[in-house]
Amino acid sequence: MEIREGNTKNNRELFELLHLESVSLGYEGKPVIENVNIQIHQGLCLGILGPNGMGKTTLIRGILGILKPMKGKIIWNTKDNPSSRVRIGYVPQKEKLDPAFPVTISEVVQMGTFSQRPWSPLLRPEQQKSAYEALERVGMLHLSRMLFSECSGGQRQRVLLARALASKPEMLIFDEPTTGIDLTTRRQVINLLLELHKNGNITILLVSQHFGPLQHLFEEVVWVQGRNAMMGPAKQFLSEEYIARAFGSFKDNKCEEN
Amino acid sequence: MTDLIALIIQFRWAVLASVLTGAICPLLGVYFVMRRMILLGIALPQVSSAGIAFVIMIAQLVKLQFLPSGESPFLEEKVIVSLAPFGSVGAIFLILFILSWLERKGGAFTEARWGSTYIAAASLLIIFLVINPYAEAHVSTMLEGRIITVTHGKFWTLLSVSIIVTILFILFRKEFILTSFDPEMAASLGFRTVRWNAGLYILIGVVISVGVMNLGPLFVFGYLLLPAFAARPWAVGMRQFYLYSIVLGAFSAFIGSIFSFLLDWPLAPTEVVAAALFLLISRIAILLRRSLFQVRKVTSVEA
Repeated sequence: MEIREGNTKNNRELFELLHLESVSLGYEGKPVIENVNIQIHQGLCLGILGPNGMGKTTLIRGILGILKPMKGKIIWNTKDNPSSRVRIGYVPQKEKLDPAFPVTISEVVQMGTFSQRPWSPLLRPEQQKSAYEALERVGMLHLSRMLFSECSGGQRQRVLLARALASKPEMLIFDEPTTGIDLTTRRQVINLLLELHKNGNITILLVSQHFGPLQHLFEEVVWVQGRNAMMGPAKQFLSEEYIARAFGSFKDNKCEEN
Repeated sequence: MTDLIALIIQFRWAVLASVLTGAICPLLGVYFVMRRMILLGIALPQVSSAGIAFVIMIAQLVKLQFLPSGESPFLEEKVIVSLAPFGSVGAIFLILFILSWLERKGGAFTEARWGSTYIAAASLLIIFLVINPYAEAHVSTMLEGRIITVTHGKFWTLLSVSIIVTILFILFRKEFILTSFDPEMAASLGFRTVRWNAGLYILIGVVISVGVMNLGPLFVFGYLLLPAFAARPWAVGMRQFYLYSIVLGAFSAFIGSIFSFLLDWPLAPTEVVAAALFLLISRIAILLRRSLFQVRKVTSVEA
């Protein structure tokens, strides 16, 4: 096991899962974020925060491998096999998915298991079990035959979270987890994230414009603003003085806290 | 009735080809509807037609250049039939390559690119036919989709291609669904979305090419769109969507062919009209179901 940094959680050494080394990311030759240096350690909950349109999603697209770095390197460290991929469970913003697809909730969640057996048209019983358990975990099992397009915003969020969990992820990336959902669902999602964080060894990346309802989850924070991304401990980065100094207003960034 | 059965038996290869293509087109048509690529669905059969007219025009010009005196200037049917696949497949793959390259380069106006492709292909087709008046009758027959001319040889070719496409489609169904529904999730799971999209486009290209050569662009576009569009509101889940689209496609092609024989109407347009009627019935039934649901809801609230 390779340990690059001396970061600790509950007095144990943390394994560095991902390292972005002087990475620049952008589109059509134009960088959106430049010279990003961050290390993400296994088992931590990290907030990727910042105002709208500043490059949070671009950073996530780089981490997901959808966007190739214009400069720098994205290094994944896997414990067992250096050539294997880290399993990522990705929860996109629910509005990104097209309701024209008549997929059921159960089909959406099963998609999370597709990488476990590529090149096979049929799902193994283990894959079906993973999907079943994930649906049960988010409390959507009884609606598994319902169309995804007929779900409410909060239900969609839970289905997408179940899909990510069905992939048995080592890293969970959740884009805007609390946006556009009712208070009850928001609490359910946050409780589930808390549970995952406590029980599992999953690294959680939460991307959010408004960090209010989530801030108690974060151990580390990446601030994305003005083409830069800065990383530091949540206690320091989420303090009123720091935010006020860096961004001028604490309230603007902390809104949506119910 | 006896006359009708006699006609169906006489033109069995045409009917079978229609039913088979009527089933295979919606299998891929579900992706045209779901991915909102309907304009591309019009453009590709037109590109295929222009490709066929182009290779036949070139062959005709070469023949005229080296024509010995006293010999007929017309290309033989077997030359036209053997050249057509090269024109059709070549043109479709060239256009798909250019469109995906432009897509990767980014920028908006995807629909404008598909629309431009359609209009350019339609215009080129007319120009190729004007330049090559010798082949006009043959090419027009092929492009208008005179399904009645489908022979048992053409049917077996169609069947072989359909079986291969169906097997590939079943094998990679998961990948096609995931990369179409959520490309970002697919990428995060390690699927190469560009390659899977290319695979889907190749299957679409092959089906359109073979379909246009045997049944014409009108039939192919009609059956890519109409059965899937009619089945969409009734489907709960992807399996039902495929199944309803395929069954509806095959059934409306068969009903269309019967009406074509009964009314002595051309086969391809009658079959497309049959599919359009099923679409209309499907839409009316959905509206009725919604109204009924609303009435029940209001009644239960009042009660």
